[in-house]
Amino acid sequence: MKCYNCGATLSKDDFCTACGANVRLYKEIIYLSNAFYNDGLNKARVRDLSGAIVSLEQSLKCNKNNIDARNLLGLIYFEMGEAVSALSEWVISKSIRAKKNIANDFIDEIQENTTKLGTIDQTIKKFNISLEYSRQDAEDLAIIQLKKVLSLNPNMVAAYQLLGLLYLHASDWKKAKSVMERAIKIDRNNTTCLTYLREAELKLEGEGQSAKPKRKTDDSVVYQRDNEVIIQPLNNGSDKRSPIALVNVLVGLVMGIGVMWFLILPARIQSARSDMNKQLKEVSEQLTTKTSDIDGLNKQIETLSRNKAEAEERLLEYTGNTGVMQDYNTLFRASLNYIKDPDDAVGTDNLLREITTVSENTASSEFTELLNYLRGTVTSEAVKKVMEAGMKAYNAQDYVSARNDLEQAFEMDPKNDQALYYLAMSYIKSGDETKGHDYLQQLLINFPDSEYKSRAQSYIDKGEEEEAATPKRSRANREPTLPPAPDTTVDQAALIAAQQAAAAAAAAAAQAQMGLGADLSAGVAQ
Amino acid sequence: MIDFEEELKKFHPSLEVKDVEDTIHRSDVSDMLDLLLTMINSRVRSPQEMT
Repeated sequence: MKCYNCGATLSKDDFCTACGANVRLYKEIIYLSNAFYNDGLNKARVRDLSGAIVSLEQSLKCNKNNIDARNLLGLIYFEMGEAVSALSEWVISKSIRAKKNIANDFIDEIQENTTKLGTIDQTIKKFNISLEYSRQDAEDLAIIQLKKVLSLNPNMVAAYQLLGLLYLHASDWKKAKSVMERAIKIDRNNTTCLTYLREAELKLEGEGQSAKPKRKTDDSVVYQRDNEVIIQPLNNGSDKRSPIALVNVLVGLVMGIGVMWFLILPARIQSARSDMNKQLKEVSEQLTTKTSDIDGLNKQIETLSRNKAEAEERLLEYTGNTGVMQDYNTLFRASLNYIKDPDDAVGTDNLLREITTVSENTASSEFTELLNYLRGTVTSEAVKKVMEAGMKAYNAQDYVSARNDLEQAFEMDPKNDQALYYLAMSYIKSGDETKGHDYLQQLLINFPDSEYKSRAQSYIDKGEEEEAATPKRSRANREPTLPPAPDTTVDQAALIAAQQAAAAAAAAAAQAQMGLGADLSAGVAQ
Repeated sequence: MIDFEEELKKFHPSLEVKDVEDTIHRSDVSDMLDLLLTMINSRVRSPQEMT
């Protein structure tokens, strides 16, 4: 505490030790201000904001420079929604003491949040408007505005008070009571709020707002609460209703099932069937397509199999035991046999007979030329030798051997009537008369101009050989006449030509085999 | 029974933000200390005038 005269720090004495001024009253006023401040602080702590304002204003009347009281007063104003009053107190406090003053923090906090400041200003304006509406008997509008104010600034006690007053004026005791109770939570000992609250409670008690039933029917109780009519059903006879309820539930269930069965289910079934038919149709189409593809493939398989069989057959013609290759080998063997032993006409002829007729038609010209050459060279000599052997055996009465030789001779030379005749006689004399007679008939038919015709006829008619009855030595011993043999001298040039023909034939056969292989490959690829 | 009109008269418009400056200027009133100092100063001058 400073002296008001000289500014020196005062002691416990009632005078200033520096200038001697009487400071007793000065001190008392200061103490009084502080006492009021303390009282205001205590009231503020218990939320008696209105009482705290009174005390703090008293404190400031005593000492307007009481910073603490002024700051607290601003704080209380702010809590009650009076932001402008709070701001003015803090500004004054800051002007009295600029440094180390909590008012600076309060002011900064408000100034930093401009949005909140704007909102506060807006609420104040709306409150003033609602006050104006109230004075103009536009209470509904005032109530609407006040509700908006309280939504923006829920601590504005003045708005609560005005709203409560309006509700009381509108005889809405319940709402008035509710509003006042909310205001009292902010300012506990606010006289105005307490007065309005008491008024609302009295009015509520006076109208008897306890829950008394007004009338009662058999199944419900009707009563009024506030402005509402409440009809409360009774639970009488609930036991009797349960079987009926159950029956109703069952009936409802049956009806529901019926509706579903007759209305909903057929449509669903139809839809499912149509989907299934559609799928079935698609599958059938696919099946038809696949079947046609399969048929096509099967035909291809058949064609290829056929081609393969033909190719194999053709290959077999060339490579089989009776094929062209085999005939070529046989011709080679015959040629070789002839080269080694030109006198072995029979052996060479036997080899030449193994060559089939098919090969002669399909073989090369060289093959045919060689074959014809060899046959022309060898066959007649072979026939001659075989005839000689046969006749020798016949004359020696070795009819079995004679039969074989003569038969071979006739095969070699089908135009040899002598061989045929003696063959027949060999069979007859060897005991096979049937076959012998057949051969004799053959002779008579095929050889009408033969010299042995009469002898054959004679035997057939008389049953004995004409020559045997009147043997004619010259005839019996006559050597069989054979067709003139070609020149059998080995012709070296012909041999060389034959070898060349054989080589060419082998090359042609190999080429044919390769061609067959290519055909087979092409058929498989298709 | 509350008189609505009487009660309504007790309500005053709240100060808006634009009124802060005026409020601050008007708040500079004398307190008890100012009165005391005035009294003390006047009492100091009076004895001198009497003499």
